[in-house]
Amino acid sequence: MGRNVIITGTSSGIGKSILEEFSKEKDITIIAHARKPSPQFELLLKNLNRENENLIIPVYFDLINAEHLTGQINNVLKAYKKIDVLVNNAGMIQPNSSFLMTSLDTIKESFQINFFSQVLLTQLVARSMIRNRIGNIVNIASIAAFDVTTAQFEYVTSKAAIVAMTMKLAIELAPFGIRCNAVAPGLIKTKMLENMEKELKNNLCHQAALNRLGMPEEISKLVYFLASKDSSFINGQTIRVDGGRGVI
Amino acid sequence: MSNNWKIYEQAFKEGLNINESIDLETFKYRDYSWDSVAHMILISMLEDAFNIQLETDDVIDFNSYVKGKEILLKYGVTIER
Repeated sequence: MGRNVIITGTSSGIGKSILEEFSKEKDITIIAHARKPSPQFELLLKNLNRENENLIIPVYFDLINAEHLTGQINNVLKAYKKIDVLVNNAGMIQPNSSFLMTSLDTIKESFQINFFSQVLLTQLVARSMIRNRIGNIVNIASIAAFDVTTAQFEYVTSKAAIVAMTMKLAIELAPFGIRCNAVAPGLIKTKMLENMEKELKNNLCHQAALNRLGMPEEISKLVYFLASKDSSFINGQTIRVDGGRGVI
Repeated sequence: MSNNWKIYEQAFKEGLNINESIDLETFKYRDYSWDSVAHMILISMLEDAFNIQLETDDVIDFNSYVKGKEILLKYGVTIER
């Protein structure tokens, strides 16, 4: 029997690449989350289903709406009794502003999407994993959690919360055979970068030893590895994929 | 003894790894082997056995053998001898 995998935020960027990477696996069933249906997303799923003869099922909810998220995920859990992998990818970044110029509502919105929705989703899915005594959770953090000058307050702090969550869950869920790791991407060529100021983007790019942007597939391959048996002794880690920025 | 009762008792005994001599009617969370890990095993056994999914608040409130019966009733599962 193939694996059942839930991936959030799969309509574009890193999430889309993660979806493409997992869809290469034989007999896999992927519950692919997006905020709302779109012709491009439906075409993507149709093409991936056709190319790989796997089952990719879309699920739609807005991460800002906890009630809707719970309802949709409970439906998934009723239909699929065994969830092997959860990839908490979906996230957002607000337009850049300083801490003192950021309203509490903006900070709360970022935390709701980048952190609390992932907490809720993990709580729901982990219970299914506990039942089967096996599971793998991979969170998408960011180098911003460590290199705090790379983004604004609410992004940095919400991603730091993801790093801490990864460590804490690795400990709490290990007795049930569940591993939890995270990937911290550096500057990756995605739509999300459009919200970043050009000067900051250029500076950050030059700060990586490889002096270039990363590509989404350079993240998704690590995510796939962390969600596989090949990484069976890796737990509670946040792995930087930043072209060597962290060592400079 | 009804079937649901048997399943409920069995889940406690297996899930929490307790022996026959313990009085379940007074058994509470944190007694003997009922820690947070065992709690989640118990909950998953009950969810499987009765084909239900408990809300997170009910998982937290499920803090005794007696309280558990009350919570399961909300999901249409009656535990009676």
